[in-house]
Amino acid sequence: MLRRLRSKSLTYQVVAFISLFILLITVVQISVTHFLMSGVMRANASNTVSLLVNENINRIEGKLSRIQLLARNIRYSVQAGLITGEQFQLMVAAALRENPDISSLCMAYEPSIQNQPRAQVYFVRNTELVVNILNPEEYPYEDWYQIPIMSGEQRWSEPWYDRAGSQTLISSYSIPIISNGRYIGILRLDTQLSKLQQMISTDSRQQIGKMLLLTNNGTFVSSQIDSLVMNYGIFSLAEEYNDEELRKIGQDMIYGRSGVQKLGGKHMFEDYWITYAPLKSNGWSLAVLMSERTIFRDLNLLTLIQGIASAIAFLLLAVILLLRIRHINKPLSALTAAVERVGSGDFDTVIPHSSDFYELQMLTNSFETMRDSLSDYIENLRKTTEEKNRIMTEVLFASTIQRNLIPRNVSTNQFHDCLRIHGILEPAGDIGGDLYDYFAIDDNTFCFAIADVVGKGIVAAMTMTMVSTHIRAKGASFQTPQELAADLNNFLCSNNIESNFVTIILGFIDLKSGRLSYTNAGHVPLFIRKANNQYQKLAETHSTALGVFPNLKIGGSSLQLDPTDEIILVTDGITESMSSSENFFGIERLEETIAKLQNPNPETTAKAILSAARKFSNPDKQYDDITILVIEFSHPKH
Amino acid sequence: MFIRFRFSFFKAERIGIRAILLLLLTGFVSLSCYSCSSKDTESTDGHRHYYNSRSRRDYRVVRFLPQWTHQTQFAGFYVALEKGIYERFGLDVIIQNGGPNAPVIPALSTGSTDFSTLFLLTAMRHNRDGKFLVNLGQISQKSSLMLAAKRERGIESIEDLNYKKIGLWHSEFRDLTNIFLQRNKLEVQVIPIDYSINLFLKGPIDAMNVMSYNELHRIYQAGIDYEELFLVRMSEQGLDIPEDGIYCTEEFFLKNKELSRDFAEATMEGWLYAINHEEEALEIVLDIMRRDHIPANRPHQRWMLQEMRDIVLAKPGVVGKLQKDSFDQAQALLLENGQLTTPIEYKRFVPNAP
Repeated sequence: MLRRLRSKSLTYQVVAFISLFILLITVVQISVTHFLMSGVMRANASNTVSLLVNENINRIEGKLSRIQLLARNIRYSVQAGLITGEQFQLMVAAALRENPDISSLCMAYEPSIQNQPRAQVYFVRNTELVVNILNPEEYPYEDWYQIPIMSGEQRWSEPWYDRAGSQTLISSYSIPIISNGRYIGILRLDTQLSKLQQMISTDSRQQIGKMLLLTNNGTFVSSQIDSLVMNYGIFSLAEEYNDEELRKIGQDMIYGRSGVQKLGGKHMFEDYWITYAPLKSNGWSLAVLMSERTIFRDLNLLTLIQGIASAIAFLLLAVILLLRIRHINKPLSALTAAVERVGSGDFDTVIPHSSDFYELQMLTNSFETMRDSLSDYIENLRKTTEEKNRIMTEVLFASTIQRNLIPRNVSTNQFHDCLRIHGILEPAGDIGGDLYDYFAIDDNTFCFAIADVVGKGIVAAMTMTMVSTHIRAKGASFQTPQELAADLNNFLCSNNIESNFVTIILGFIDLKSGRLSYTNAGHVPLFIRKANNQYQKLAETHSTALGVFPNLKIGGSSLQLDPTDEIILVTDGITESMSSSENFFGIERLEETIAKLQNPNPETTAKAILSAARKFSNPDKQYDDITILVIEFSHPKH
Repeated sequence: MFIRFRFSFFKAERIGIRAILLLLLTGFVSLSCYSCSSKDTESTDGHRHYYNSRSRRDYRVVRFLPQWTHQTQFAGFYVALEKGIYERFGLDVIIQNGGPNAPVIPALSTGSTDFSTLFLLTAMRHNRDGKFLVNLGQISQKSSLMLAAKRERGIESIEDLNYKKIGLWHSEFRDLTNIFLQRNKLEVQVIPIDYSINLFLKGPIDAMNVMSYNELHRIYQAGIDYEELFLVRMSEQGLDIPEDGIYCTEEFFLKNKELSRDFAEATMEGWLYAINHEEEALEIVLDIMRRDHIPANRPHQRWMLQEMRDIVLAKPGVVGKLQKDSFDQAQALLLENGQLTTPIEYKRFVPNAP
C-alpha cells in the first residue's frame, strides 16, 4: 500500500502536473487563436456576402433594366403611332427572338376602348410566333393589368402562372400606354421566373451561404430549401416559428431596406446571419443566409486539427514522461527497499549502486553513511542502556535497603506501651537524603532521630545510611544525645568523602520519667504539642550541621514530657515546600497547622501536616524529600 | 397570390370536357381500385381525386365539389373521408378540385357534381332562376366577411370609407358588402377585383373585401400588421348572414333523400372531428394540398381552421343546421335589395329541417 502510494505520488504527480500544465497552455493558446480568428473570419464573411449580394443584384438588375428599356422603346413606338398592325407583329417577333430573357409580350387595351382585339399575348413556340387572344372577362382584373393601369406606374408583378402564353411561372413588367392623357392600355413584357432563379442558384452552389430571392409580398421565389419556394414567405415562416424579429426583417425587406442581422428563432435559419438588399427595379429583395457554422467551418476544422494534434503530442509526452520516470524510479525503488530493510534494523543490508544519475548516487552514498552512523549509534545506545539498567537496578536495590532501614509504622503503642509513633518519608527521587529512625537503647531509654543530608542522590543516600547505621550502632554507648551527635560529627568528618553535611535532631526519652533530652544540629525547630491544643516551638539549635567541622562542641536541652504530649519533627522538605507563586510553606504555616489539630494522634498529625504542605505547594515543585516524625508520649513507663 | 397562378392553369378548360374526363376517370378508378393501394390517383387532366380504396360496388358513389381549392375551409370533408366516416355511412366520396375555374352552380346544374358548398346568399339568390338548390347542412353559423382598410389612408371609422376606392370581388361573394354599403349610404368607388390581395398591398385601392379566415391573414402574411388595418366585420353590422352550407339540386335530393342526409350528417361529423383534432386535421389537409401541388402554408391553414372552428360553433347548441331565423334574415335582405322577387319556402329550401 505504502509502495503503491509512493509510486503513484512520484510518477503520477509529475506526469499529471506537467500534462495538466501543458494542456492548460494548449487550451488557452487554441482558444485565443480561435477567438481572434473568428473575428477576422466574420468580417471576411460579411464582406464576401455583401459583395455576393451586390454582384447578384447587379446581374439581376441588368437583366430587368434591359427588359424595362425595351418596353419603353416599344411603348414609344406604339404611342407615337410609328408602327401599327403587321409592323407591330414583326417588331414583337424580332424582339422575342433577339431577347431570350423575354418569354412573352402582351398588349392589352382597356375594355372600353373600341380596339379589336382588345388584348393579345405573343410568344415564340418552336421558332413560330404564336398569338393568343385574352379573355376580356378576366384580364382587366389580373394584377399585371389592374395595378399599373390604376396607379399609372410601370410595375413588375408578383410571379404568376401564364396559361395563355408561355405556360410557366413568370414575372411581368407592365407599362401603361398613354393616349390623350389617358391610360388606354398596358404593354407587358414577361420573363420566366426560372431564369431569375437560375441566376441565383448558380451562385448558391458556392459554399458561402443560402441565397434567397423574396418578392414584394415576402414570398420566397428562390431558395435552396425547395419546400419554401412559392409555398412560404418570410412572414409565414416568422409566424410558424413565432419569430417577431424575423417578421421585422421581412418588413425591412419589402420596404426596400438593406441590412445585416443575426437570426434567433427556432427555425431552420437559427443562428444564421442574414444580409439583404433590395432590387431597385421590382422592389424584390435578395438575401444571403450564412450559418455561423459555415462562417467558422474552416476555423473549426483548423481548431479541431490543432486540438487532435495537441492531444496526440500530449499523449506521447505523457508516455515518454511515464517511461522516463519509471526508469529513474527503478533504482529508487531498489534503494527504497534497501532503506526499508535498514529501517527495520538490518544494518548489514547492501545499498544498491544501480543508477547512473548523480543525484541518486549521492543519495545512495548518503544512505550508506547514514546506515553506518545509525549502526554505530544504536550499538552505543544499546551499551549505555544496558549500563543504565544495571545502575538503575542497583539504585532500586539501594532504595529498598534504605527504606528497610526506616522503622515501619504500627498503629499500636510501642516501647512498653509508652509511645505511639508515626513517620512519613517521601523521597523526591528514587532514593533520598532524609532519614528518621527510632529504637530503644535500653529497657528505659528511647532514641529517635530525624536528619536531612544536604545534597541528593546516591551520595546523600549513602551518607544517610552511614548516619542511620552509626546512630543504631553507637546509640547505646552514650548517655546523652549531644554526646552521640558529637561522635556522629566526628565520624562524618572523617568518613564523609563528599563533605556532605547533615542537619539532625537527636533525642532520648526516659520512658519512666518522661524526660526528653535532645540536641538540634542545624535542623528545623521541633514542636511539642500539648494536650490542651497548645504547643511549644523549640527553635534553639545546639550546633551547626554535622560533618563539617570536626570535634564540634555540641550542646543539648531537656524538658519534661507530659502524658499525651506529641513531639513533632519535620525536615525542611515541609517548611520549604514551594507554592505556585514561589512562596515557602514556612514555619508559621506549620505552626498554624499544628494549632488547628483536632483530637490528634501521631498518624493524623503527620498526615495533617503532609496534607497542609501538599495543599499549599505545587506538586510539580517537590524537589526535596519530605520527612515527618511524630511521637506521642502516652504515659510514663510503669 | 399563391392560389391564383395555380388556378389560372385550368381556366381555359370547358366544363363539359371536365365532366367527361371525370366520368371516364370514375370508371377507370372503379375498375382499377382492387389493384390500387394508394388513396388517390392522377387523372390524365392532372386532377387528383380522393376516393376510398376499399370502395365496393354497393357503396354509394357521390361527388363533392368544394367552392374553392383544397384548404381547411373544407376540413370537415377531407377528415370525414380520411377518417373513414363517409365509409361508415356507406358512401364512396370523390372530392373534386374546386377553384375559380370550377364554378359550383354550373357544376351542380349540369350534374358534373352531386354536392357542393355555397354561401347562403349565393344559393338563395340563385334560386330565382332555373334549377332549385336545397340546403342539406349549414357549416357556417356566422358571417366571416369583413372590410379591411388601410389606416394610413386616413380610414379610422366607417364614415371614413366615403369616397375611397374599395376593392370588391367581381364574383358573387360581394353581395353582403354591397348591402352594407347601401345601408350605410357610403359613396365609394367600387373597384371590381379578382382574388388577389396585391391591388390592396401595392396601393391602388384603400380597402377591400376579406374573409376573416383567408384574405385577412394573407394580408398579415404579406407583412402588414393587424394594427395597420381598420376592420369592419359584417357580423357586427347587423349583417350576420352565415356562409358555407352543403347544397345539391332539388332534383338530386328528391331522387337521393337518404344519401343526401347521410352525406350532410357524415360531413358534420367530420367537421366535429376536425375541430377536436386540430393538428391531425391540419396534417390531412396539408397532405392533400401538397399532393395537389397547391401552395401549402401551414400557419395560414392553421389560422383558417381555427377561424372555421369559431364559425362552425358560433351559435350555442346549433351545429350543422340552417336555422329559420338566419334563413329569414337572408331572405329579407335579398327581397329588400331586389335580388329575390318571390319568397322561398323554408321547408323547401331546407328539406331536412325538423
